[in-house]
Amino acid sequence: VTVGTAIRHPEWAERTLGEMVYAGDVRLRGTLVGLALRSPHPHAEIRSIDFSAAEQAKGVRAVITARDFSERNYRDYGTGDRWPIARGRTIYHGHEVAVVAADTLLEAKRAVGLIKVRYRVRKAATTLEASLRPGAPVVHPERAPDNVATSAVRRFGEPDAARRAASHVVRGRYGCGIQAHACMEPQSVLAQWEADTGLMNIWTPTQSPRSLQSEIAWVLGLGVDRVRLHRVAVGGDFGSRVKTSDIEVLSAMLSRKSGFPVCMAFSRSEEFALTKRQHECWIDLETGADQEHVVRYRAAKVTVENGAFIHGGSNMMNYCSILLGSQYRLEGAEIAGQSIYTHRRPGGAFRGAGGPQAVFAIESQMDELAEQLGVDPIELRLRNLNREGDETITGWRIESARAAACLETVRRELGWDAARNNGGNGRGVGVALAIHVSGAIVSAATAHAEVSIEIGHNGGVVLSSGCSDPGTGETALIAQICANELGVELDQIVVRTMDTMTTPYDPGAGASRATMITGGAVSAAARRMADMLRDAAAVRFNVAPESVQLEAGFACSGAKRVPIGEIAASHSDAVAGVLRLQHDEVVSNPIVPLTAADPGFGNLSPAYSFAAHGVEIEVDSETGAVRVLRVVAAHDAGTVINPVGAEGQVVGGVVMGIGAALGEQLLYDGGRQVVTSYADYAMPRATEAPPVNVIFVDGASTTGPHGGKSVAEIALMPIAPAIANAIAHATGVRIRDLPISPDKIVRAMHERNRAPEKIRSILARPDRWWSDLVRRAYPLGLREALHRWGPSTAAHTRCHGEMLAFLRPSSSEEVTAALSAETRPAGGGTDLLALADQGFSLPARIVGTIGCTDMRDVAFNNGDLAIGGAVTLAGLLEALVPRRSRGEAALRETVEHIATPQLRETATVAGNLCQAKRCWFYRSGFDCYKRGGFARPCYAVSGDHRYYHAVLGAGRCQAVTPSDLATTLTALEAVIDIRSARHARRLPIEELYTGPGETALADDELLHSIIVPAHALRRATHFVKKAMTSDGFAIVSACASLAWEKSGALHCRAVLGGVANIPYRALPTEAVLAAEPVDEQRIKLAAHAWANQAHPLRDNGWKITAASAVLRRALTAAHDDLTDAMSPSRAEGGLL
Amino acid sequence: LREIPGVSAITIEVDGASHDLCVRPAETLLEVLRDRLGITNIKKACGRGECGSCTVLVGGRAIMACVTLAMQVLSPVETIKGLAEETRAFREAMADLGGFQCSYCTPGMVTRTAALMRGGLPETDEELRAALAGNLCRCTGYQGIIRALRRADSQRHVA
Repeated sequence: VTVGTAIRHPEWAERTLGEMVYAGDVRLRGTLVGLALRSPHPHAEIRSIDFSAAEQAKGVRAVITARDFSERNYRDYGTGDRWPIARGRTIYHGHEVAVVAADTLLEAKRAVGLIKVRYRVRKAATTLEASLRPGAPVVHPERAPDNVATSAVRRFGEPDAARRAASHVVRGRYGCGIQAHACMEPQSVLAQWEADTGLMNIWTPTQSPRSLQSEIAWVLGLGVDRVRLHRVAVGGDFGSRVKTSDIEVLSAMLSRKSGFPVCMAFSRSEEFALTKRQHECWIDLETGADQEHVVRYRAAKVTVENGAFIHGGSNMMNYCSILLGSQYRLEGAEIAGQSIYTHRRPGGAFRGAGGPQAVFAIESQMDELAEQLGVDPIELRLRNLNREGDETITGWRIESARAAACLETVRRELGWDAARNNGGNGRGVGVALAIHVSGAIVSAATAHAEVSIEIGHNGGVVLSSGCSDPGTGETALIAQICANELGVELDQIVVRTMDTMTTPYDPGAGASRATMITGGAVSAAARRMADMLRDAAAVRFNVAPESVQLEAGFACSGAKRVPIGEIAASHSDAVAGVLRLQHDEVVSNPIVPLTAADPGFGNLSPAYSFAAHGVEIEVDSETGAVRVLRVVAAHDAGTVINPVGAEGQVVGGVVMGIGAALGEQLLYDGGRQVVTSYADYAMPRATEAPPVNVIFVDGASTTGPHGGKSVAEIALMPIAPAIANAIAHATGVRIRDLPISPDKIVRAMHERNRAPEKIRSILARPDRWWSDLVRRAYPLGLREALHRWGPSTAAHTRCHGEMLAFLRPSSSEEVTAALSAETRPAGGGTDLLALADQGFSLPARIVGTIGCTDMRDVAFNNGDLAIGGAVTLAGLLEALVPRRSRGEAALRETVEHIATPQLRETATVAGNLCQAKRCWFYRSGFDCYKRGGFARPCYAVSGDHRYYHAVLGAGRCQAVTPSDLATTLTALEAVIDIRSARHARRLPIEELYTGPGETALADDELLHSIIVPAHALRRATHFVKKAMTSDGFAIVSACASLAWEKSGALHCRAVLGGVANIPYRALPTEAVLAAEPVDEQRIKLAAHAWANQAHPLRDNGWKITAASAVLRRALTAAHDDLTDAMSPSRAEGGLL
Repeated sequence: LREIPGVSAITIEVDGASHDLCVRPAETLLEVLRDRLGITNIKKACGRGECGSCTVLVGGRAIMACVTLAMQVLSPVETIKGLAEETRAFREAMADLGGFQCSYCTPGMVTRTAALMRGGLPETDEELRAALAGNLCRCTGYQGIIRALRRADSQRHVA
């Protein structure tokens, strides 16, 4: 095996078969479940905690509160402000107040419910703006009375002189929203206290075991050697697990107190709401250049939101500030930075730690500067690049730099020059560059990596490192480097990692250090071992050591060959047949502490990587949708050690960056997390990920192992600004805050065209006065009053009991015989368990319909199409024949856009039509009007309602009916066949819905089947939908169904989804189309005609534009179908 | 219609072996497979039918075990364990082309593709991506997975 060739991960078979053991797969006898009581307030004093009832409850083994802990805080990045558990007050929503260990999850839930806490609710600063306002509620009065946790002003080079030399200046404010790491493996901790040996065993995913070990030991007051982190597989990290979260220490304390192993594991909703996340970051940036297109200076103010503790915030502010002064040659830079406390769950390190934010600001502004200077963006960058041998004004020594080659590669592979001349019509190209460290030497510990190598008499090699492989392929990388030096095959090497008791010290992955520093240590150690083997072989062969080669497990010289195991075993240093070597590699860089108190000048890393990303995109300016068509990612990562791993890092980083650029965003309401599921978090799926052309330009560092440099974090950095630049190229609109979600594009297009969506005056609409008045009162205190004091009826439904029975009859008669208020029907049941997870209680009994043979058919009856309610969506797709009727084709179009292939296999047609609303407040546990009754607020009125809430017709609840099938079936005039033990009745689908996701079905009624009439099936019908991701619920959707009437007039049914509480039939649209002539102009007019009925919320007016656009497209497609079929005469097919 | 409150007896066939079990009505197929039968190869990542990590085949069709009640399952279940040989070419191609990193979503991904390969891969990459849209992956950006599928498919045709 040599460095530079593609190798398989040594664990590939285990990894592809699920044989790797993750923390949640470790089973210990007698393990208890740990569960926290979490603060329901973002800021409150804890008057008292009474957990006596919980302690006495069945199955409960231990309860802990702040009293069980010393005054020690986590040390984090030396910031030392984080408590292990709420101490006298809670300072974010979800803050742990007490934690219970019980035999089962159900018992733990019951016990948590028995703990009585008296809070005194205090005002909270739950946004950055609120926290910085004069007189704002203070998060840590003793540390930061103004909520400014850390601040620094840094001057690099000669900022004043450089400023004077600049003739062109660009300014802007750039923001990066809060991305979730969204690791596929939710956080999970298993802790086992061994009382007799005084050892705390921990199984938990992390890329930095030694950091967790020392923090857990510190907070618990144990010696570092008394905490053992065991090796487990790590299902993603991306920075989220590089420092301790909260549940490691809590599980450990519970185990110590109870004497049993304790497991705390997050559900996906807890993972979204309660683990670390990206820190919000804003950069006010100014760049100045001269007439010669030389960038002279940069001035910036970096504002980072920490959350309730600093965590990674200050670190991020510092690196971001320094990077702002480092990318490109500058003469001077002046960078101010602040990290700010808010009453929100703290953030944490995230891939790139301030780098992606700095690069987004720099690279967006470089394009703005290029435009002002009238120069090509790539040319401007080439003019100002960091070059080999440079020292930046921040003290970075650029020992190798192939940035120019990266840019030229993008230019060539993207076809830049031609594409750049073709902007403006919704297509565009953009480029961005990035620089990043290969390991940051911020402390003595980060400069170290220890490695040990053992060779046994059989030639087997054991390589040990305290690193961990969270998916980065570090295990493969160090095995490859070791194999290369020792001349052995990969399968001769066993790699031991992570276990703090059996592996030597390594600070773990972070700041892209793995290849450079751990890889460098392995390389140096293996080289030393190879020298020992060569020297010993040389003595045996009686030749000079230089003439001995190590290959294929042998030491060779000329024709002489001896297995290395034999050389090792007989080596004078070998013990019991094993030759051992321990190596401590120390990087010689000076330490740059990366604290707010430090000026930040110095050579932070042994080497710097570069990357240029180019993208081609398509922007739908009416719906705001952006599609990334392709990406060219050119990287200077020095020598690539394992191309499979390196390329994987780049493609993965690019796609994660596309998520951050276009949709991924956590959102808060009153300090509480709103986005708690993948359904609401627009993480790219295979359908959103573009093809990525990865190119590593030639080059090698002088410092890294075999010339290697970093690649993992920088892969995320240039992609978002490249997309923002491409959007500007495609539309002329510059968006400066991420994510560039569809609403921002539509609004910016309105502003650019000076044509805002006109909302009909509320004065002319007495029917909306009341709603309007209530909405106006919300921000004036109504929301707060209802939120704090509105009594809720939800409490009694918050039962932790289980479903008692699941029945599975074989006919609908049996179903209807069983139905009642307590016995509810279910189709595939796919939403049942999600609802239970979201805090809704399941009905006592559920009757499954999928066994009902009379509900499983798709059949024609006198030309009418009858679809059984228990037909799965996948079954419906297979039964529909698009060529048989246009209605079937439209139904296919619709079903293909619902959820995912796997969900369609289980979900049924009736279940889809009757599914509960998807409002993210309702689904995330907010005690809203629909959960808690009349006195509770609708959180959507004042909260984030940009995507999934109504723009017309809504009353107290702003949610919409989520079913796409409902939209199309309404256009197709479907009739619902309803059965009960009492009767059977038929209902036009327009009368089915009484509210958002609410139907007219009585408790004993069953949606048996759906009938689509023959005449509607013949109509030209099309469905169009816009969602954040391919599986997503409709932001807007439209179905248009057209036919010529005998009179020659056009018959039209136009239905919109996602705009109103129920599928909305756009009667004004239908009326406009009833008149002749129907041409493009009239269709356009008609598609927008319904808009005067709209009564949007504060931020969702853009949906009117988007909905009109999808309706126009559906109408146009249907009209084109008709016209095609009609020519040369309107004789057949389309007639009613 | 018989109703036994609390538990129900079911028979479930998993990877060719038949199991008689008593399950709670709310018990999911995923809980049965991981906790009762010890097949921890199948991973739970969302528990809500959103990510595909717990994909198994029931009657040859790819479904998500976390949102399937054990009592709904009447056809034989195939898990990643039982599919090890059938998927070997694809898994090797994943290893060669960067189809996995943290590997938590991988068993579900491999299981999903087993069903796809049986039915024949769609021709265009766009259709292929749509067919894989039910499986979230945070690490790879999907490209290595798609390339591996194409390679495994072409090898099968050659063979």
